[in-house]
Amino acid sequence: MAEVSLEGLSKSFGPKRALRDVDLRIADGEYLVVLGPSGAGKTTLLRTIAGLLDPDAGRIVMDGRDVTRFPPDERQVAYMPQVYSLFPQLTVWENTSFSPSVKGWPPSERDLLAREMLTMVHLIERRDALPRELSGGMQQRCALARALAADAEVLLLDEPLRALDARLRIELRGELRGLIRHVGTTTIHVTHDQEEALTVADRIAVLREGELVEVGPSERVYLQPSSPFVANFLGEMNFFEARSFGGEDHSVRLVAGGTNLLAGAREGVPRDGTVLAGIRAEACDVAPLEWAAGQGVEGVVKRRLFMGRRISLEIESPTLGPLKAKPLASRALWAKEGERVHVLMPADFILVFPMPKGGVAAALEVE
Amino acid sequence: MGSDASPPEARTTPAAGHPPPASLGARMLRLVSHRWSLRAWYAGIVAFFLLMVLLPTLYVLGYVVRFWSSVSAVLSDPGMSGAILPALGLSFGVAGTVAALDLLAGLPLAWLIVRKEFRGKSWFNTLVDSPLAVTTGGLGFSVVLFWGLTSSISQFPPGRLGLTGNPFLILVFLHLTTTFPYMVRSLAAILEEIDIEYENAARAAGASRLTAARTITLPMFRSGMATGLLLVLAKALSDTGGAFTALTLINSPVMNGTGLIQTWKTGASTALGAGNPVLANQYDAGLALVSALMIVLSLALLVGVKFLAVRLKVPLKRVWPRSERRMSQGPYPKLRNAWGLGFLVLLILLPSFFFLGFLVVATPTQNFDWGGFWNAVGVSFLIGGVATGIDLTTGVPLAILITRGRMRRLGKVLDALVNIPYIVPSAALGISLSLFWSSQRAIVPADIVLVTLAHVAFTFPFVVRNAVGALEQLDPATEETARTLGAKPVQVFRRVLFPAIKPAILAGSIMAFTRSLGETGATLAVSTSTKTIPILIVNWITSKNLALRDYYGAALAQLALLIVSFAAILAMRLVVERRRRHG
Repeated sequence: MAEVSLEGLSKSFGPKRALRDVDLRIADGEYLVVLGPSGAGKTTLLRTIAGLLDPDAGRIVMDGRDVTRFPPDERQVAYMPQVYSLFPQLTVWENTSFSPSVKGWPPSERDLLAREMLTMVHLIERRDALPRELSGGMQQRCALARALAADAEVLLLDEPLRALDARLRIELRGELRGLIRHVGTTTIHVTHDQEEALTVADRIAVLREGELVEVGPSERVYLQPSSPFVANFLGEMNFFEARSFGGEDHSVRLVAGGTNLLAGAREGVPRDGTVLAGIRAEACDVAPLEWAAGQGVEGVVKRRLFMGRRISLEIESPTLGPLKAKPLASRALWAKEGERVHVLMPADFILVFPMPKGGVAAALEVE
Repeated sequence: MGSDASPPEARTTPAAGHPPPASLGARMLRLVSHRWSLRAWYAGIVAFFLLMVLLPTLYVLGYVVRFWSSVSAVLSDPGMSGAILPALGLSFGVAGTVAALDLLAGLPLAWLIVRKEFRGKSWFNTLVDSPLAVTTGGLGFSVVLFWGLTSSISQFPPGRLGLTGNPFLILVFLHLTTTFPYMVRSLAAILEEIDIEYENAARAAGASRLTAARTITLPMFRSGMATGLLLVLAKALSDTGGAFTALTLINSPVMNGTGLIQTWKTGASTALGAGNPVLANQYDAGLALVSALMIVLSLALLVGVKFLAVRLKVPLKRVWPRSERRMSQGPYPKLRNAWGLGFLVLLILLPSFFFLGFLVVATPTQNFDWGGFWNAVGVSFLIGGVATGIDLTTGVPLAILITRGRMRRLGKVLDALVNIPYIVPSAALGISLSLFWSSQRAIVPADIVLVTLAHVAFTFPFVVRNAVGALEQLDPATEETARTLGAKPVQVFRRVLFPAIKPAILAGSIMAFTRSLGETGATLAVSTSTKTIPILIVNWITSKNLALRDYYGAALAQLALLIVSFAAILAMRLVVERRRRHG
């Protein structure tokens, strides 16, 4: 285990700047998830830490030791690529004992470690199978066992669940987190899936066009994102322009399209001026008009999409324009197309940001 | 790491600045894995390729420029300069015709091999490859025996056609047998890669079988066709033993390019023997000129075919639904198969193995020189083995450099350069090599070493091409992962890379070995005394002294060689099949 510091890491491919001055500290034993859209530089970041790419500038420090120019095999960093890259001609057992074996461990200790790792990922029964004889989930677990058996200081996982089907993905992400917590290795896990990130991460780092735009505990990044981009990337947002007025210590008053709304206050947001306000679709509940159940706006349901656990509604509001709401199905089955509804917007879930200088669209743009 | 199993004392942390006391093996490993060791190693490999393969191959071009005065003397000699143009015309005309015929007959056969399941398919595959096991000299004899009007041979097996004494036609018949397997192999290899679902989708969208194949599948393997065409053209242009044998047997008044090289080579040594160095010199200059011309024209062909493969819209976009539907049903598909199979039997297999019948009907040689034969077998296997060994030790690293090197552009350039010895006619290559090495006689005194170096030059691409193909299939992420798991570059090669590409390397070395075993042109051009089996065979058939001609002995030697080569081809097929099953 080790503490990892990235200091001013930059990398370009021709004119494309894949990493821009990335500063990041990952604590000993921490599980950090790097989240970002495709092409944001996530894989470049991992490969640079693994030593498979040389950064143009910056340093990589592990436990106070500068490893920036070390070849991959001397870094004590185990990398698990998207496609697992199990060695096709080696058995599960040989794959798992590969690392101790090339490092010249005594056979008895090598076997002990391989056995322990394979038992842990429930593959000890399949030790003599070749990778192509395993199911997708088993391959993933075998790749994990091999990476853990490297006894590395840092584990780098590149979209470790991407190649699995949806159900297995949800099942295995819990298992993955449990196993790694048990072993306690410092881990950097890269994904574009916000739900996966929120479920497994101690902390989330959001990457956009090679730039680190936010780092923090997953709950805070979800509930209090620092920018409209991060807010939108972690869940579909309804954005609208509003005017802000004073308000109490912890809240701010907003007027948007003639409707008064109360929102949580935050630093850096003007208490008297134009702001960008927003609320996640899944935070918006709907209620019949006559109930007057809380703050919110009126609207007509234009489209309704039943998704099972939730219902996706496209609502046209005379004051705020088109809105999206994703209430739980159990609470919104009554809301049919053409129905007039009250869209509830709880103050705790309304996010306010300073108005972005380049316009809202540019602030949200994903490459 | 939290697990109790990890032995901290065994952990290698050379990075920490306190490396554990390492064994000699571990220290060696670290030394050869050092960045600079690797760079030096790769630089050495590239230097080897440039100096030992490429430079000798192209040396003759510089020679022609340097000794332009003696070359221009050849041009002003009407007897010599008048022979050049018809010879080159014959060579390239035959190669073009053969390539076109091979393509037309190879397509249906490749289709049959890849898309149809039938019993004995692997035997059928072996049958298609089988003419490769006969030396071109043997093929020349066999083809003339079957097709040719000749006064040189008096005893014929029954069933021969004996239709023509025309040099062009005889050469076409001959080179169909020497090239057809290459065409079918290249087409089948690409067809195998193309997912049949494309064709199925086109069929589901309403296209007839023929329309789907013509508009969807064919355009996808344009590059495969280009590879096949290049192989065929190269092989047809290169062949010396077969062409020289066949043309001699029909008493042809004209020679093709390689035949001319062979004739002048003999002329030069005769003139030198007769104490006429001026004439010998003139022959040498003529040889250099013809070789240089053939090399330049072949390279132009290489570039041209590659260029056309990308640009040319071979199969038209237009569709004729009604007639194409009709052509896809009823007797037409059967006719297509019949054409492919008939071509294979009548034009390839029968002529290739017709000499076996000769062994039955002809009068056996009274005192067959078994000693000389076995001596030649030994020499052939020694040269082939050593050349293949050199190919392996230098070709595999070069392939790694081409596919995995950090300098992409260098890789691309090397990749293109490797093709040059492939396409250059081996007789011309032989002249170039002998010119290059004869100026270095002090370094390479032994004839057999010179011949081996020549064989390295033209067999080298087989190993590199195969290894490059396999490496391109292999995801680099596999090796990168191995590196992060702590493997040194040398360990990555030994434990991950090599096992994965071993079948392809093996196939490549068997191809290189059999090519070396059957090669005539370069060997003749380089050697003064070394006799390999193909040379023995060609000499027995084409000897100027008719009393020394021994057709029966040649056929017998060919049969013996056939048995050996067949074993090699079978081994290759087994390896390839196994790879496919495991793939």
